[in-house]
Amino acid sequence: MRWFAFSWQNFWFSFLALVFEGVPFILLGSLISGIIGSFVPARVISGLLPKSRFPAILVSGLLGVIFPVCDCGTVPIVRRILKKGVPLSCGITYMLASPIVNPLVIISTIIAFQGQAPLLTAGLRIGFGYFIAVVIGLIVSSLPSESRLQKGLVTTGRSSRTAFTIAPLYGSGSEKMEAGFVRKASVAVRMATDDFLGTGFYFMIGAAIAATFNTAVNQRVILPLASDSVLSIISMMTLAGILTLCSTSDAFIAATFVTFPSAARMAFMIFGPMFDLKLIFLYSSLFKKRFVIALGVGLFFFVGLICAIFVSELYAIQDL
Amino acid sequence: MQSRICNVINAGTLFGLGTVFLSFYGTGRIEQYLNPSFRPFVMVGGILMFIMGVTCLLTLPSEHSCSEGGCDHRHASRLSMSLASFGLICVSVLAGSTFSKDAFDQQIFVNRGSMDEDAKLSGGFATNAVFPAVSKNGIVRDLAVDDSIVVEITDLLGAIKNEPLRNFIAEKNVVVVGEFVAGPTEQNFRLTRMFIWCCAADARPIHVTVEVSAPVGVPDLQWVKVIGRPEYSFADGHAHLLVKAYSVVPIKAPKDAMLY
Repeated sequence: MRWFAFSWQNFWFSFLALVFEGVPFILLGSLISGIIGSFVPARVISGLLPKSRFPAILVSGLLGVIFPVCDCGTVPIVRRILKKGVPLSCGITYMLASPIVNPLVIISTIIAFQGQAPLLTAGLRIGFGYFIAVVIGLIVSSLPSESRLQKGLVTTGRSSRTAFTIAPLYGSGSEKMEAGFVRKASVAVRMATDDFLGTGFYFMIGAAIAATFNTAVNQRVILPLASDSVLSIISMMTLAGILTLCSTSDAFIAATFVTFPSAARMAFMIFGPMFDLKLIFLYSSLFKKRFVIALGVGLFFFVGLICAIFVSELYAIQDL
Repeated sequence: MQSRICNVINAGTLFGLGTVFLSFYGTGRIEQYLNPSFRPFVMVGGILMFIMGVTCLLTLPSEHSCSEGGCDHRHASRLSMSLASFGLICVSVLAGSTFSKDAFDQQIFVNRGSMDEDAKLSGGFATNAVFPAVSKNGIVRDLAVDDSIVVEITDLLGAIKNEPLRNFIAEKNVVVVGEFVAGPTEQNFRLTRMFIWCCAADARPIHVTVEVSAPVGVPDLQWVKVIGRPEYSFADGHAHLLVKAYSVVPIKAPKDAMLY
């Protein structure tokens, strides 16, 4: 069995499909980002989160319920709220949790797992997805932001004002300065354009690599690993990283891998929305490369460990 | 001056991408790529890109603000970044739209395997198949000619777990279309369709096994219309479905090649 067989026809078809599916959501995220950047003062953003670290991270993990944006769309939003002064720990918690802890994903998971303990599966996915995002947020909160973020995102007081940033002026005591709605809207669109081009740049690289592996790798090579509880989890997380599925649809794919243990399928559904080939490049627009790699490796081990120990045990109790 | 050039390039990127999105939506090519519920986003996205492109052309970033430091709007002011974005975003998608054949080739059946090989998987379709009304794919349609009913592969698989539908289908001749994939012997083949949830990137093949009395004589991936009778049997806790064909004829690819 050949594990890798590349075909240009399949590559272009899959690449365009990823573009058509993902780009509208990046556009949506960029527009939200532009609106936040132009219309929402920094103090309003800061006011949404509790002052102390732990509750702020807990709340950040739940923001996906209010802003149900998929993994592609979160990146421009996180980029913007970081520029508005939201702590990196809160931004990263939102970024990791929102593709899982959002109503669309909950519904799709329940539908996909009909006849396979749908409520338990959806509950475990949300619960552990949220827990993992919060833990990562807490770890990140103890690290200095400057060494993790890309240069332009490090907030250093007044000097961090950007080309189109009107909102921070209000937040910094210049409420009297008024900008007309049309001007603000135009600034919002310009900001959205730049965020879109910046994020889209990385997305295209990720989509091209994802399309290559998504179509060229023979997915049957992992089937023999299904009988081993640890290897099955590792192989399903690797597959999730390669397939780069949208979090609203990945449950349908996971549900079809019935030969794999439930814990391995859960690992697929938790790890995939947090880290995959496409996200490596999208995250690179926010974070330094070393941090992206560390995040990926950390998530791989953490999600794997959680699924191998706790999720498999919980499914075993339910006799699943 | 550089800002103006960047503006034009950025607008060009947005116009180019927007044109591809709108042309795929307008010409119907998008039907091969996305589930219907995702298609309107392509049209809206295309329109938004044009609006953003026009805004980009009509306005200029404030150079004063940009010079305050910490500006991360690299595309607004740096020619190299604008050109890189144009190349990576616009040119790659334009190339894709030119070279894509709007379908997978045979290799995908090998690489992705058939989703319904395990009988348990047919349960996933049982929720979609609604008897006797029209299902998600417009599946069980009105009675066709010669007392045959037109069904999709998803109906045949869904009927494994849906007893009323199974009883209804099993007593009728069915007309079902799909792509021919040769079986282990000349007396049977796999009638295959791609099933997608969101986009073609997540599509996986599903199939039913068709038994024929003589070799069909068509190449792999040729679209065929099969008229036959489905037979359901249960052994070892698994359901087995076999369609015994009376007629297999080559046809053109249907408008919606994918099932969803």
